[in-house]
Amino acid sequence: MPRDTLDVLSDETLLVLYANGDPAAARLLTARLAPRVLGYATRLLADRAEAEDITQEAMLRLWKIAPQWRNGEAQISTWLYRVVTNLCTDSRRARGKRPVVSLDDAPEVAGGTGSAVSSLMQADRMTALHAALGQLPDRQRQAVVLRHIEGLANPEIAQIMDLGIEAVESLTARGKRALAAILAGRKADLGYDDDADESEAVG
Amino acid sequence: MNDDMDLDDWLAKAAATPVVPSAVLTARILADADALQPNRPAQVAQVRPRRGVMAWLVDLVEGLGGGRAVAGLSLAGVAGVFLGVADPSALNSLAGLIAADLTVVEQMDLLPATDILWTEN
Repeated sequence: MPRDTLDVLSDETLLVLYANGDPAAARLLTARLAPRVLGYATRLLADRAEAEDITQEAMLRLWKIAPQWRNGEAQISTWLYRVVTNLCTDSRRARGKRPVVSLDDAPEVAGGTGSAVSSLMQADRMTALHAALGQLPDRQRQAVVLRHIEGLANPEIAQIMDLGIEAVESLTARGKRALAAILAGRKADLGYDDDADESEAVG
Repeated sequence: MNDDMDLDDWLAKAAATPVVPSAVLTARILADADALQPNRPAQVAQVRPRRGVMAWLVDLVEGLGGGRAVAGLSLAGVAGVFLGVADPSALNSLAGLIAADLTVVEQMDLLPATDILWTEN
């Protein structure tokens, strides 16, 4: 089937096409889903190499389940988030330690929006954010990432985490408070004093 | 970092920052997809090694130059057997037919002076 035609199809339809032998469907599904899966796994683990392994494993499970996939039961993205959540939880339990965040692990900040110094500062802040996320309890971190970085609605998060909506709201609120407290201690390191100086100078 | 505005700003920036899979990871994922895909279109048939008498015959035909060359050799062989076994009179008549078409060659006295060698003086 031509790629232009495939572009407008839902993930679920593409998975059916994949199961029926369409060679282009897997490429399109990978292009759509792999960045989201990798982003989520990277933010949960703060370990790029391990996040890549988990992304491959999650996608592998998708290819395996394709022939049995039943449309209408769940969205593929929701199913994948759930798989990644479980894989990351298992991985962290196996490691038995908190993630170590380096600049290499942090997602790259898009360039062209400011000076080199400003870009470096943004990169430092993203690294600090990932490090702070790594200090949260697993369930709080998952809820905060799904709600505020992946941009999912609470009912979908509840489905992914197998919780009620109220529990999700509670986890997200507690997670955000803990995150703010962790990052508050690094305000000066991350150039917030400089930002304040610049604001005063402009004002 | 005491108010939620800063944290929301950080989270929004993280959300807007895509995490791009490397080409290697994408290749790994697609290799899995390819290996696990059911109902794949037929692949080009692989050449399997031939064994046994038929394999020997096929190799022989290919070694001799293919089917047409073997057909030509077979025809030549049959013709050879015919020439060896057939009644010679048939061959004579065949030769006669060929000779009839030839032009008559004039007899020439290639050594006219040799007569003197035989003449007694």
